[in-house]
Parts: sequence; structure tokens; C-alpha cells
Amino acid sequence: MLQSGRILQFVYLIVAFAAVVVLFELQKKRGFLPKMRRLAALDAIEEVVGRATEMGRPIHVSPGTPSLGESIEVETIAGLAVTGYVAKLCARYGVRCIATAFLPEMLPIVQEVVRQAYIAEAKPDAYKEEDVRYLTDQLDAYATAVQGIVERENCVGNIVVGRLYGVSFMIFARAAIGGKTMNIGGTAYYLNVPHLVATCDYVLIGEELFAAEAYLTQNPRQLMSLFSQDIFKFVSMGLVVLGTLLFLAGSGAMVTLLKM
Amino acid sequence: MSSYTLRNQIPLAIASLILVIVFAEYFLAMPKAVSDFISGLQKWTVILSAFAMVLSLLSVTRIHVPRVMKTGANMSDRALSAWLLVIMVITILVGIGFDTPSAQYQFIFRNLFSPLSSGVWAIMAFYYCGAILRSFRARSLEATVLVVAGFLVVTRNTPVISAIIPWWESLGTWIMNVPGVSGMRGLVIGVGVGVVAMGIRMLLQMERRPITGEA
Amino acid sequence: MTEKSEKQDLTTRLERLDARYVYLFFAALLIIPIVVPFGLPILVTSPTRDFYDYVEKNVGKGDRVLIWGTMTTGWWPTEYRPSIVAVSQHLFNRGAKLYYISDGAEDPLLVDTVFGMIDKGPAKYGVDYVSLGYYAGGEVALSAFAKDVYSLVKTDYYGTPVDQLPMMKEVKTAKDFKFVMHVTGSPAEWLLRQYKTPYGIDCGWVGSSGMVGIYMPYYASRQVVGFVCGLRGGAEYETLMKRPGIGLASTDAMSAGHLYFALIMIFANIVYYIGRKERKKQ
Repeated sequence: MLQSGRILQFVYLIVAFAAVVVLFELQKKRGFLPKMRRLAALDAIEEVVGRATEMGRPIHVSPGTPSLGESIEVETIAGLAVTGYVAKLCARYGVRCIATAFLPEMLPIVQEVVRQAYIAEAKPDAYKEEDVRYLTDQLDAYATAVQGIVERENCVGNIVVGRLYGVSFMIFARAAIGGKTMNIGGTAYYLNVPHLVATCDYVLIGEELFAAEAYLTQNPRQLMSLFSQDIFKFVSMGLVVLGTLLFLAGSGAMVTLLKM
Repeated sequence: MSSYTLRNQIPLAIASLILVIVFAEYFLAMPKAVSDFISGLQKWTVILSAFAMVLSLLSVTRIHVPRVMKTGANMSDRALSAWLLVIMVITILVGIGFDTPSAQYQFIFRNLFSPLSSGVWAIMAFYYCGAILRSFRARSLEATVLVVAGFLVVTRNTPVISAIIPWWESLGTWIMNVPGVSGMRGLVIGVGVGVVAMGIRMLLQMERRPITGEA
Repeated sequence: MTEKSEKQDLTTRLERLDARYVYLFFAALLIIPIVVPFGLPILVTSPTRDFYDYVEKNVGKGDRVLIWGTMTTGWWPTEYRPSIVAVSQHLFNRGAKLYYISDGAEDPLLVDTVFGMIDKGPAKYGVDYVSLGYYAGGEVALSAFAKDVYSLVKTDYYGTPVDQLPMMKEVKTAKDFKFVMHVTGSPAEWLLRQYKTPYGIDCGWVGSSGMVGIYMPYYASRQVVGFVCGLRGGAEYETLMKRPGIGLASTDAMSAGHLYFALIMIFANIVYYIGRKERKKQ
């Protein structure tokens, strides 16, 4: 019935699903809420919006640059959560929010996310469709275009969180010269983490990206889902240690198990 | 049926159903009809991705045409937007009229697009210089580790150093293969767990943004 | 002006050095080795060697090799061209049947360029090599092709129906290929998820130089036969092929550039530390 080579993956998925449901029930019945450590990059978003309000300058935000065929995938979803949050704060404080989309199929989604944020703040008339733009699906051109927007529009903040594919974000270093613009970046794509660390003032690395929505909204279900992630990380660590010990002892049991 | 149901509930239900079918097809031995259905969906994705380019065309036109028409605006902005629109239209007409393997299209690609693209990519090298100058400073313990590891890996990738000092290549390779790979594996495992959790949230309709735009 | 304040002044000026001087010197350092090559040696690394050895020992006449490309023009001159030209030449020399397909819009045009750069010998288009064109969708397109070639591909890049191409009659699914390569800066997992894991086909990458760190875990665990990355990978492959090309010609500039980066790192930290000491004394 189950395809060979995928049994363990199936078991993991079922266990993960069950764990999430159990944790939701636990939260409902006992009111248990895990605490999160501070994520400086997400706290900095409010600081950036505050600066933008004082100076009357806009903010640029983007949910990342996924490659074609990956347009709607998990990092982009996390990036959309941050985009929505930034748009909401901008709507609240009357700051101009310029949102850009990397892929054509992302444009209507980004438009809807930003529009819903303005509606949630009871300012639907403040939403400007021309401030949500498709630029290009060429990485180098996109990074240059973002840099152009940041410099021409004199943006106080450049927030790019999501799937960042490609190394063109070194261009953002230009904006950081003289402290004119604060760069906040975040990605789970390992290739770009060092580039963001070198060019951004604040960075979200790896799974911090997936914690963004839970951190920003403090939604109990999101927090419990995040808690389940941490539990499975400990399980993974345990499997790594167990596998290493078994391998050193000359047993291929863990390898056989993982190939199931 | 209310507009909320039409806009939100039905798309979410369709998304959840498709998710379950795709999951089931991956894990379970399903009848051929299901595999054919999934293949059909994949073909639709390919088609939709191609058609989404029409959206991009409309968006670019919508941004740049008003910029060109705006009297009193900065002349260089208007000129650049006009130039973009002219080149876009010419490329589209040549592509449709002569097709992409044609000499005419290849001319545009090789003499316009290719040098521009390569030029922007070449500029990255200078940005790397600037970033190294500003960011690679041993301000703290973590920054010092970053600088030292960066220095070793950069020099390891220098062909002449690895040829002259082979053990330097081995040291750099060790840094990439042992601490580098283990760090990356940790990141990959963490991200993988996060991806599964996000998938479960989508299945439970907790992640609605890509479909409805709402939180 | 006292000696102390002269030193502070120099340190402050160095800390605030106009980056344009750094860029100018860097540009000169890159141009000179290209105009006047030094002929500096290079060492062949194991991922490239293993890739080469795999092709040399396992890919023979008539073996079908699938080459998925996501090449972009920006990265073409340095990241892809040396590697893909050298690898394609090797595969043609081995008499393999090559199926080029693209999931990047610019890739088919670059594949055309590759065809123009290599010595194809007696190989005939449609019989020994084919360019199937661009299919949007990324990993989804890879997956669809793997399950059923004809569900995705109806014509080749030049518009010829695939049933008129003799070599297309030999393939129906991914299982009909001996070796699959992904020429890409795209995520590494696509190839493994769609070809290696489900079908157990030998896989390899030809990628950009930045992907080395990402490919390394998969190479270390032998999920791929090897990889050829960037300008250096191309130069190494040319060395193994004993066929110098653009890769080897550019390694002097690459060496100069990397050494410059290393020197900037040292310089920036020395200036920073001297400046910090001065500021502490104040």
C-alpha cells in the first residue's frame, strides 16, 4: 500500500500532524503558551516604521525572490506574513508602503495581502495599487530595481524577507552606506544567509523566518505549531546522535530505517 | 452563497483537497487515474506560470505609461520609462513574429540583454569589495570566527594558493566539509522541520495568505 | 600637528577610505591578468574529478544523458560557460546521446550558444543531441518530465515535432536516462527529489560557484556523483580534459581577485583595530 522508500516519511508526517493537533488541544484545555525568545529583526520592523513616520519617508518591502515553479512555497508564505505585517503598520501610521513582487504570479497575491492589511486598519482608501509593483523576474535586474526604488524614493527601510534566491542582494549594501536606509533581510535559503549577514542591519536566519508570523501575531495556534517544530528538532537531534552512535558501533540500522 | 464563501472558503477547500491528493499520491500506491490527475495539475501549473507573464506585462505597462505621460515629471525618469516600453514592445513583436530561435531575436538577446545582464552581475564583485570592507570586521567573537573562516575559504578558493600550498586547500576544504557542512545540515534540518509544520498549517487552513490575502 | 594626532588622522582617513579607490584597484587587478596572463597553476578538487571520472568510466556510446538547464545570461560568461562547454564536449567525445531541456527562459538560447562552441564530431541533431526548449514551472516541470516525457514535450526548441526526432523515440520516462545533470543556480534538492530519490538515477550538478557549500553535503553523502561549479570548476574540468579554454584563461584573474579580497579583509581589520585602540586611549 505504502510506496517503498517513503514509509518513514509518511510515519513522520502522521506523527507531526498528530503532535500539532494534540498541542492545539493542550493549548485550548490548559491555556499553555510557549514563550519565544526575542527576534531582533522583527522588533526592528516597528523601529523602522517609527523612523518612517517621523521622517515622512516610505518603506520598501518584498516577500522575497523565489525561483519559477516555487512561487508559492513556504518561505514565500512566511515572507507574505511579514509583508502583511509591515503593510499593516504602515497603514496604521500613515507611512507609504512600496511592495514589490518578483514573479508575475506573485503580484496579485502581494496586492491582496497589502490591500487586506489596509482594510484591517480601516483605511481601505489609503491603499494605492501603484505602490504594489511587479518589477522583473531577473534576479540581478530585480535587486538593481529595488535599489533604484530605495534610492529614488528615499526609503528609510528596505525589508526583504522570504525565499531569497540568488546572490544579487549584495547590492543592498549600497543602501546601507551612510546609514540612510535600514536593511532587514531574512531567508532560509542557506546560500544567501552570509550575504544578508554582510549587508543587512538585522537578519532572520533559517527557521526564524517560519517563526515570524507566530512572533508578530502571538496567535496561540501559530505559537503551538512553532512549539511542535522545536519538539521535532529535538527528535531530529536525538536521531542524529543515535545514528552516529549506531554507525560507530558498526550497525547500519539507522541507515536501513531512514531508507524505509 | 455569500461572497465570503466564494472568495475564501471555496478556494481554501480546493487547496486543502489538492494538498491531500498530492500527499496521498506521493506516499500511497494509487490508481493510474490519480497519477494522471496529478500530472494534469502539474501541466496546468506550467501553463499558468507561462500565462502569468501576461500579468507582468500589464503591471509594467501600468507603472510606466503614466510615468511617461506625466507632464512636469523628471525628464530622465520619463525617458527611461519610455525606453523600457519601446524595447519591451520591440522584443515582444520580434519574439512573436520571428520566434525565439530566429536570428532577429538572437540579435536582441546577444547584443542587448546578454551584455546588460552580464554587466549587472559583474557589478556584484565591487559590491562584495564594499561589503568586505565594511562588514568583515572582528568586532565580537562571532564576527572574528566569521572573518577567520571567510579568509580561509576565500584563500582556499584561490587556484594559485591551492596549487602552491596544497595543505591550505585541505584546511579550507576541511572547514567547508566539517563545520560548514554540519552547520548547513543543522540549518537544513531546522528548515525542513519548519517546512513540514508550515505544510500542516496549510492543510489545517491556518495559512490563508497565498489564497485569500488575509491573515 | 603632533605625531599622535597625525596617526589618528591617518587612521580616520583609512577607516573612511572612499570605496571607489578600492574598486579602481580591484578593476585593474582583474584586467591585467586577462590582458597579460601569468599562467598560474590550479589544483583539481575532488567533486570535479569525481564528476569527470564518472563520465569517463560510466557514460559510453549511446547512453542517454538528460541535461536540465536554468542558465541565465548574467551568470553565463563566468559561472556556466566554462563548465557546461567542457562537460558537453566530454559527453560528445564519449558518444553519449544528449537531451537538453530548460526551465529558465534564457537557457535554450544559451544551449544554442553551447552547440556553436563545441566540436560535435559525427553527432547529428535529432539523432545524437536535441534541444527541447523551455518549460515554465521549475520543479513541477522536472517532475512532469520525469513521469512522462511526452506529457510535457511536444516539439523541440526549433518547432520540430518530437515524433520526427529519432532519439526521442527511445525515451518515455526518467528511467530511460543513464545520467541526469542539472545546470543551475537553483535549489539543489529539485534534482534529488525528482530524479535521484524516486528513480535512483545517477545525478550531478553543473552550478555556479556559490553553490559549492550547498552541494557539498549531498556530494559528501554520495547522493550525487560530483559537481562542477563556476569558473574554477570549468577550469579544473578543462585541465582534466587537457583542453584549455575560457576557464583556464580566467583563473589568473580569479586568483588575483580572491587574493585581493583576502587582503582587503586583513587591511580592514588592521585599520579597525588601530582605530579602536586610538579611540580607547582617548
